Amino acid sequence: MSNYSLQANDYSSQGLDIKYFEDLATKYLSVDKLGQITIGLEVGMESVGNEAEFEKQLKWIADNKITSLRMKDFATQYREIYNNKNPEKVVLGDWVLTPKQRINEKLGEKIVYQNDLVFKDLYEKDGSDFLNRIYAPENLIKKKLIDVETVLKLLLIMVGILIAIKFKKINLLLIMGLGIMIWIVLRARYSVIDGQKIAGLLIDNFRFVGINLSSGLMNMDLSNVVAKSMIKLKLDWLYFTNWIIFGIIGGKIYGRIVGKRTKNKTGQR
Amino acid sequence: MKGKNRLILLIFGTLAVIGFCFRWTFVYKFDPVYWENFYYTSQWNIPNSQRVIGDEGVYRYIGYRRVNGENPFNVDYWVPPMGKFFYGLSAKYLSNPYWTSWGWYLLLLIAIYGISKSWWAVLILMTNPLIVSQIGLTMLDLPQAVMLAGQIYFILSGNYVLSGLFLGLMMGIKIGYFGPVIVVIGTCYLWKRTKSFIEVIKYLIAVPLGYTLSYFCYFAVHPNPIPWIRLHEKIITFWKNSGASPNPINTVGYILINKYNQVLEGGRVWMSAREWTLLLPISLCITFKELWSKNDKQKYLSLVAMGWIILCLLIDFWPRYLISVVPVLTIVTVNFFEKHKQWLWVILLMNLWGLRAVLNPTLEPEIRQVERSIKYKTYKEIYQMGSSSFKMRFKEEGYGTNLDWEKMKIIYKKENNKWVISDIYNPNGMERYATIVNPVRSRQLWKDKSLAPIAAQYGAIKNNGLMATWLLQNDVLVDKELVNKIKSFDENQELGIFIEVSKDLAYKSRVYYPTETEWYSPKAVFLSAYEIGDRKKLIDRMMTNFKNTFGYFPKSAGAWWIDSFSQQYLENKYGVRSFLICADQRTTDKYGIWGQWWGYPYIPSPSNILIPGESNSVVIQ
Repeated sequence: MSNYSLQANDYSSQGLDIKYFEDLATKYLSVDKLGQITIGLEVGMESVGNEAEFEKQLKWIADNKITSLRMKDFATQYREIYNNKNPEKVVLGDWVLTPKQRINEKLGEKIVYQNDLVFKDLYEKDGSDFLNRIYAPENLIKKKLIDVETVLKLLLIMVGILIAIKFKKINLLLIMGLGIMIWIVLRARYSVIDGQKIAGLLIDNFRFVGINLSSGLMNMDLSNVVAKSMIKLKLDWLYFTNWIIFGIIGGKIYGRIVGKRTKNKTGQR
Repeated sequence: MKGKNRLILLIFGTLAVIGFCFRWTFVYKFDPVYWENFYYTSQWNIPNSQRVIGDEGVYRYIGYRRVNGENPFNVDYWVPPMGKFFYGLSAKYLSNPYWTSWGWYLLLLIAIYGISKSWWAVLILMTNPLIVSQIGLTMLDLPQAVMLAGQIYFILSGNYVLSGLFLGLMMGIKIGYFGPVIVVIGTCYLWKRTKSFIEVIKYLIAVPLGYTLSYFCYFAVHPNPIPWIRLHEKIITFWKNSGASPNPINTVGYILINKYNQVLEGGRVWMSAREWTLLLPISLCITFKELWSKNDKQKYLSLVAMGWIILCLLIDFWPRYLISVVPVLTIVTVNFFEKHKQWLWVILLMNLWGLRAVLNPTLEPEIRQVERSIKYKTYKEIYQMGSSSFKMRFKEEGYGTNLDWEKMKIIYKKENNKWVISDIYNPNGMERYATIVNPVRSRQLWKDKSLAPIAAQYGAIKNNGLMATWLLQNDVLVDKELVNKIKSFDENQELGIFIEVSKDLAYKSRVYYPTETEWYSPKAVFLSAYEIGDRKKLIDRMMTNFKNTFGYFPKSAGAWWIDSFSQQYLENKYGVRSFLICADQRTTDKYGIWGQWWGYPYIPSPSNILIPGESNSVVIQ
């Protein structure tokens, strides 16, 4: 439940009625230049039992000649009115909102926005039971200036190319074979399901191709839990060697093309 | 690549560029109600009316009336019906008269190739600004040019009856003022070539036949030709009393230095046309020289061009009157420079230089029109100039009558390369908007699993004449009954995507889903609970499913929380422009979101959706 909410189910459950909605909506709509409110109900869920209140809201919007806009149209309208930028200052009741901060002196709240701080979920998954997105230093991390993983991959490719140049006699088929081996090792899985031992390759997160030691070949999607809990070799770092292999293959192919052209030109002379 | 292939490639490339710059003509929608109102309250029906309808507006509307069976002698009878009829045909059956403009343009290019057998002539004509500008108009000069080109093609290829018919059709498009001179020149050419009275007579008979044919829409309803002949008295009387005064300097001034004296806002002023190019004075000199050419074809073309220009000296000249002879001048010029192709490149470059003003129009005419409409309180015209979103936001009925225009700020923008009004507002006043957003999850989660809840919610919105956005969770898309219901919503309803991950979506995206937790847990339902690569898979899957169901990618998305990676991915890959996230709520069982602008929309930072920044989207709460 949100406080200061315009949602019919929110304020109705607190014993408030349309008068509360009208007062709050009027406050939000009184912002200089552009006032906006968002209303709506989750269909079939919170809408059930709140239809009458929702209709009152709609009627109030229609009666007061407030322009209803679809989300995409409102976005266009907002950008046009503010010339594709956020307004320099918005005063909404006791709140003063600027691109750099938001302040409510009455509540003693001040949040200063820092462009170099981000939530961690920008880069990695957040598997917590509680979604903590409170804008406070303890919940934010420094924005990465460069993507270390991408740089590492590029470096590994370059290493691969250098290897291809330095060791011209490396067999391309051998390298490709090595790549396939690594792929197989990374996807090799083993598990025991209902007493039956299975071993093989997990092609993607669910598709298993392998053998059931009791009943023979298997080619099927495993359930979410089974697929995730299968035993695998802890060799995830091998994934990075693939980028060296890509580099070597790229370098070898490039070398062959250039070599051919040089030969042709020499032949023409 | 051979020179010819290069030219053909250039022609198709140019055509693509012109098509792209005139893309607004493909999406225009003809509104018969508006045009009817405009015509009947215009200067043609109410003396001194300040709703001044231009010729092209009259032609498209009257054409529409002709197609609906209107007698050509009832309204706008002083201009023959055929050209208007074709505009009306596409206005009625395609809801867009500009398809006909495109048709005339392409026919003219085909005709000029037929006459000259020169790709250079096609290229120079198709880039002529005066010709290209007609694509965005529903005027009669382009069809007239096509008919004149048809008459020239057939006379040069020895088919004199068809030539005469085309000349007659030309006179049935605009008033036949230029016709007699072309007849005389054609007769002389024909006589010189055939020395046959029979051929000359056949040609001369074919001309009135062609003219009669141009009234096919009249004869389809009234087969008796006698009243038709008598009704021409009306036309003659009209033109006799038209009061237009000739000014020979206008034609010469326009061709040589792009200056002519014409009426603007009730007074005569000297003006210039953006469609003028150096081809006009150059080709005039060449044409004059070619009058003494030993080549009969070249001489005939030069005579047609000079005859037309001389007749222009005797009327109240507008630059578009030359459109019909521009193809002729082009052919004469191209023939003249046949062995000096470098000059054709120069002419082409001059054309392209002039063309930039046509393909990239300035805002001045629209500003002038709006100022005039405000001055004379003709607000319907202002409304018509509104962008598609402008028309969605405001109702046409009574628009502008209650506005304090002195305080209003008008914002223009280009929509499909045409200047339109994107907004009119009082900078010191307030714009008030309500965004109605209804998330729709799978019916398995509904309390009432019938369609009654969505029908009731939609009914309430529709009954109040409001617009809304419905954000659909991916699982909804497999519910055929629910999808069909949603598809039956009116055009005021927008469909967007509700970005929640379900077990089914995760499985279809080949992503692990935490089955051990509740569906609404943040570690299951939000994209932020998944690795970056998995987020991409989930988003791609839900967007593809949406497109497969509704035929387009949604422009709006929502969830109680959207991480910035997903927000940017949706924005950059799928063009999502509007996001809904949860408003500030510090403590609930599962979520705590705090710190964004309090209850006010903002453009988010690309790296943090909670803080204002420079994304290409807007966040609402």
